[in-house]
Amino acid sequence: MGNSAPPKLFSKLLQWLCVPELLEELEGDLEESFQYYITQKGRWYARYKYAKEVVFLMRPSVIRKINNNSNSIFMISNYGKVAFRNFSKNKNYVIINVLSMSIGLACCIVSYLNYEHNSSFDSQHENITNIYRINYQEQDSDELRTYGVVPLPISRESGNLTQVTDIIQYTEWHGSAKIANDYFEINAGYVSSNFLDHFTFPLIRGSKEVLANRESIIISNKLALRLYDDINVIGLPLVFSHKGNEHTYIIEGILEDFPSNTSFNIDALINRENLALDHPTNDWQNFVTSFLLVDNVPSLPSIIASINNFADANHPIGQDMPKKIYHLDPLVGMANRAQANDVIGPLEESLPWAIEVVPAIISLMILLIACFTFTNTTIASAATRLKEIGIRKVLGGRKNQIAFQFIIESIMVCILAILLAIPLTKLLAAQYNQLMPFLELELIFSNNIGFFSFLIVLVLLAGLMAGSYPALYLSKFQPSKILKGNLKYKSVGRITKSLLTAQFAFAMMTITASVLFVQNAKYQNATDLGFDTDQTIVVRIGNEEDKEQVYHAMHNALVMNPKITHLTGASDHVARKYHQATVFYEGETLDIVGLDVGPGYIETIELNLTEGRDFKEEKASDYIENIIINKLFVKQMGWTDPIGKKLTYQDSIEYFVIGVVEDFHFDDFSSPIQPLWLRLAKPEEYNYLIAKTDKENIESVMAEITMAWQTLFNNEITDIKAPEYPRYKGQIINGIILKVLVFMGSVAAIMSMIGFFSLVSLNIFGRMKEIGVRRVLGSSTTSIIQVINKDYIVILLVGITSGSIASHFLIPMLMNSLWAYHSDGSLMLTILSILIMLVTCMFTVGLRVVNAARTNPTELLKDE
Amino acid sequence: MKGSYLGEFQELVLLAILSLEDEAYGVAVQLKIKQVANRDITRGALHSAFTRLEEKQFLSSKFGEATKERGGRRKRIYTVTAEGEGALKEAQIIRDSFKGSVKPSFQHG
Repeated sequence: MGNSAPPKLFSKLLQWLCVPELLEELEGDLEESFQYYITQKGRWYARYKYAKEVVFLMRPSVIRKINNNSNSIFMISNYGKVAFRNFSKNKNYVIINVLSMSIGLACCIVSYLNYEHNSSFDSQHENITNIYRINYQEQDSDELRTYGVVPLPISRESGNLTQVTDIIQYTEWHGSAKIANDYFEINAGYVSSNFLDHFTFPLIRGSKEVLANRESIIISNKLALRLYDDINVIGLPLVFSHKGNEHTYIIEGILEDFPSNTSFNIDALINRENLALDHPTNDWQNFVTSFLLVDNVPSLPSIIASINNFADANHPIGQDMPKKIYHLDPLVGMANRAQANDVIGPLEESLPWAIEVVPAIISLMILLIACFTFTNTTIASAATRLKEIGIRKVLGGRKNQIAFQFIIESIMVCILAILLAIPLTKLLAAQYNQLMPFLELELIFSNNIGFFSFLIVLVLLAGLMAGSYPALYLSKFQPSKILKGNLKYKSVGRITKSLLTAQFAFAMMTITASVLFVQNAKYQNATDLGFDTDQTIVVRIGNEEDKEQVYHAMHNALVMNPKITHLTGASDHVARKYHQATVFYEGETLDIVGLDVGPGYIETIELNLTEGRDFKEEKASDYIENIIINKLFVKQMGWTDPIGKKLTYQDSIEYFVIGVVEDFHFDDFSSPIQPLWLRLAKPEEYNYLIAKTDKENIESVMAEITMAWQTLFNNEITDIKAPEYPRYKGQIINGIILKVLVFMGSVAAIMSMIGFFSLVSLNIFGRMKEIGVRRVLGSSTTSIIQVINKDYIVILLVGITSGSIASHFLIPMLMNSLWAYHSDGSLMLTILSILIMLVTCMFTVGLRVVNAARTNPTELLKDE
Repeated sequence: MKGSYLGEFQELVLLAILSLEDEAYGVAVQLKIKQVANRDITRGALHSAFTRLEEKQFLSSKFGEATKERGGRRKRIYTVTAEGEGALKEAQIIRDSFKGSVKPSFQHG
């Protein structure tokens, strides 16, 4: 005879949802059936039947209506009034919570826009899924490198394949556009005439057919405004020159401005037939970016096979020439892969994934911190409203009405937060856009409804959770107990404790991350690069046709300038250009990097010559067979006496070591130092003119160099870089990540401290009597502080320590993916931040307790 | 007189109540219908039928006794009103009047 009770969950559900007049009859019937089925078919069947019956009883005639009050308008206004009174009594808490949650929301939205912008490169092109770029991979030294350009013959052959619908070719060149006597630096794309057929770049003037015309040029809206301050410029001439070749085009079209997440960073489009090839005699030395339009996905492998077969059959063989393996790179995600795999080519890369992902994760943590704080403070502040609940119950308030009051208040706070988040997001996005000069994030709600709904739901859920805990828990209490003051309200329950722990863990993670990155920035900035270019000005002459003549002209113009301390030229330059090679020594090979430089280069950029001698300008053999190597080179060869050693290059060329320099960073921190040689180059090979001066003269020398250039070369503009130019691409990224993290770290720190402070205040309020009693019984303020602190110690320790430790291990991993050289997180610093946080928190608690403890105990113990 | 139209299910319920005489309450009606018509009906469906029949004034109800199996809760006993019995009779007459025009294979014995 089963006397077991029916499934509690369902019976509670029934009790909650059923109209009271029907409850007795229905519940009774269901229970009777339940007992009957236990005897007939066993307990499990009975339970199943019961549950089923309850579910099917959920129908309109049975379910209670939430406001089955005829005075619903009155009730709503009552809720509203009480809510507003509550808000004005607790203005601080409300403001803190609304502000925290809206900041959290704003951060999340901006991070998401950032992520979305970065992962939707080239999404404007309608044909994006059918376009593939031909890449090749080549084993350079011990690295497999990917190139986004291919030799011209490969490009032509691919275009002829039957499975390929069309082929688009693209070559980018930097040059100057001339209008009247003004020169403007622009990037131009030499494209096949079908470029605009397959890539969706809308025109605001003209039509895409003009690309077929050799004499036409299509320019961007931005360029038109720059040149003429007007877009009605169709028919006007534009002279574009690069590599000494000048050509006059007629403007026949204006393109809409490109979004910043595009692979093509160009100001103008020109028909390819105008392109002067680098190597007119050997097409295999001319490289072009080639896109294939393929409609039939299954044919891709055969296309790749055909290309590789053609290459194998026709590629000129050279020793030392590693084999090129061709493959197809879909346009979708191409920019992201280019960034991740360091693809070599003219097109733009996306931002590194670290910039996408890290702000997003931290924003989410900040939002969670805000929501947790909100939940905790709501739960704790309910302790102050026990009398209110008691009175309401006495006056006939039903449980669900009281619950509803709390929930309404929470949701109102959440809605305020969401509304405030909108202008905050705009503000934050504007700041972020400024940080990244090449970025333009737009707040378009329509595109991202799914995501915004997700955020809103998240916040509303927080509100619901925050409001329902006190709602359900408190509304059960008996009014008499409340009003008599006998009720012990446990305001630091399990939920509060876990939320608080999580909150501190997240905050510490963010703070530690910021600290580690700041430390790293200091380290990287202070790292001796092995050279000094802080006072050098670099003029790029590599674009010119007769580099020797240009160099000599400039040299003559500047050599008499007393402010210029060193003047030299170079073919390669640190952080700008270097080459790779493989050398042979007694049967062994070594893959190296190299810089071809002018005489005086070592002195100019202050490389440290430790053995042997520098190049001499007048010594002919220095230009032919002498090299200077770095310490790593010596080490990897295992030489004890490197001077005079003989190396072979490309089978027949012999080099002798005449000097050794200290290792230096020839590229940014993402590349490890490699064995390196310096060779002496002749002026006809120079790509750069390098002038060194003193710090205070930099500006004036820059101006003088610019004027010299313009006088010599008819006002043409060239590339003159001052030392402030970020030496390494990595520095820009570093700076951005740093600013973002410091901002977020501060926000996290402030929010959690304020949240903690509010929570402690509220909790102490609930323990006033206890503090009063302790005072009366003779406790000192210090020992009361200790007692109260005890409750928080465990939470703080666990939260703060786990967050710190997590960051301590995770952040270096992140740094590893960004740079080859970075500081290791110092354990001391981590431990220090943990201690500081702990002490600050305990001090906070102490402050509040001191306040309470100083109050006259009689005040605390009186019953009002 | 749309409101007084008697649905098939409602007819079944009325008949079950009549057959249960003084002990016509939820569970009993459910079991009765299961026995006689071999239909599993949920308490909810039955509740809707009761409600509609009461609205049509074919049923009246009052509280009965509480038992231990019901956790001490009282039953609600339903009885068919005079109007209810009248509606049943009408329905029966309509069914019978088909007898002549329906082919033999559909007629009961």
